[in-house]
Amino acid sequence: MKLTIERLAKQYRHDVWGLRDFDLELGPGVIGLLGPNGAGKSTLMRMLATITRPTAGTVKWDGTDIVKAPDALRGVLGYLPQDFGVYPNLSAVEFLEYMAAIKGLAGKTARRRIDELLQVVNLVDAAKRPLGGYSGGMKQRVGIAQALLNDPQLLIVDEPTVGLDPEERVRFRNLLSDLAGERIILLSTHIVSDVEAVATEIVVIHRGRKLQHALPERLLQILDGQVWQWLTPSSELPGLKQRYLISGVVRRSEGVQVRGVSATAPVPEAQPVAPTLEDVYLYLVNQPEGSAA
Amino acid sequence: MKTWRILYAMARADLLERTRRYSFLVMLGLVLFLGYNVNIGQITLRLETYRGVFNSAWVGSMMTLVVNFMLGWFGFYLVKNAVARDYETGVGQIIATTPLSRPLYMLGKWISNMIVLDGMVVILMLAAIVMQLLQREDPHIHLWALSAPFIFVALPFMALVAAMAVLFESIRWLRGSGGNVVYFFSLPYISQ
Repeated sequence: MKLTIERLAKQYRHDVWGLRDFDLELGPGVIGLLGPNGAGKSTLMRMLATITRPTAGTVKWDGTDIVKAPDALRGVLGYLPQDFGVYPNLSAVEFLEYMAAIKGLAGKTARRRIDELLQVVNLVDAAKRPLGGYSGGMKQRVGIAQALLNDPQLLIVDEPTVGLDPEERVRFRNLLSDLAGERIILLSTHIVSDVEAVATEIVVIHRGRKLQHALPERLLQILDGQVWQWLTPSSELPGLKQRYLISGVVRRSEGVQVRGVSATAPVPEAQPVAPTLEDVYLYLVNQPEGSAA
Repeated sequence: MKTWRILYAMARADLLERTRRYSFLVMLGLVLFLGYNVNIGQITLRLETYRGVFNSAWVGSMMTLVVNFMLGWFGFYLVKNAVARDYETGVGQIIATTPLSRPLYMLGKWISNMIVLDGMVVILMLAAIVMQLLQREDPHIHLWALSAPFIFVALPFMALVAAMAVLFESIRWLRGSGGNVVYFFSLPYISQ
């Protein structure tokens, strides 16, 4: 089970590229695709999901080019788009029956799978209510259920936690963790804590290019000994933001506690602290264009 | 077998989604109201002072005229959202990632459109029987004479309207309100 992306590019207009020279090789696990809004994550996801054709490059699923033969992937693909919608007057069961038929699942197999998935996503009690009355989190759970109908080997979820409340977000992350196993799960988000919790590998993408692809612990090593924390008067904060990459600010009665990235101690009283993925992510996406991290 | 299952699922989902909307009930009420007016003689064809006797053949023919006029014109707007709905709700994106082929998808939408329109035709046909019985100008129901205009004129015409709706949705410049205007003015030529 291998997904290989080589020199993938998507050009929208003459000088506008959604993605450029993108290489990646993925095996089973939860891969967090992290990048700011507009970084090219959805563009990449849509090409991998065979919705959009790339301008250049190849995407191979177990050696088969899915740009030329998309059906080689479609049978084993589950996709939850960023703006997932439903038929509001259908119930969850009716909607999942519809999607199951479209995905080629036979009657009894489909019904059994739907029952299983409704339990997995904790929607058994609401299964016969119209989807139009569901909360954002419940709709998202229907979305993940439809993506899992065909027990996909490649599961693509694009910004799945946007619009969810904190409790629903945690529940969704746990669900993704439970699903990990002998499949590739590609989780796209701009929320670092989402990938921090579940990803076995992280890909950082910015301005349509891949900045990093590494294990989370390997990413953290990038800033080993370069993250500092110190207390400073709040009046100095604007000046500090111009000189250093500030990754966190906490108000204290004595001033503000600043967390920043610097190769050397920014002030004598600064204490080195262990880097987090948020520090590394901010550091990577704030590098000048073209510079290697 | 798989193809039939997909077509059935598409038609069922579309039908349930549509028939649970208020717009469907409004359209159905409007069509029934017009059908009622035909049967009580408010809407009828006259040749100077002559008119047809309200027997099965005449009621069936008159109702078919109403069906073709109403559903031919306004039924198009009722069903011309099957593809757009998939686009707007995002369901289309998911469908695009499945092995479902484009021709099968379009066929499914056509069948689904046709079922909605044909359902209305059948309801009107049943209403015609009831109204002929209530009218009692000719109380004998001749089922074949009454249903033949529906079967040979209304249903094929609904198939055409259903196909036109899918066609308009699949051509970019006919998808929006421009397409609605084009259809409104071109129906008289299409139905000839």
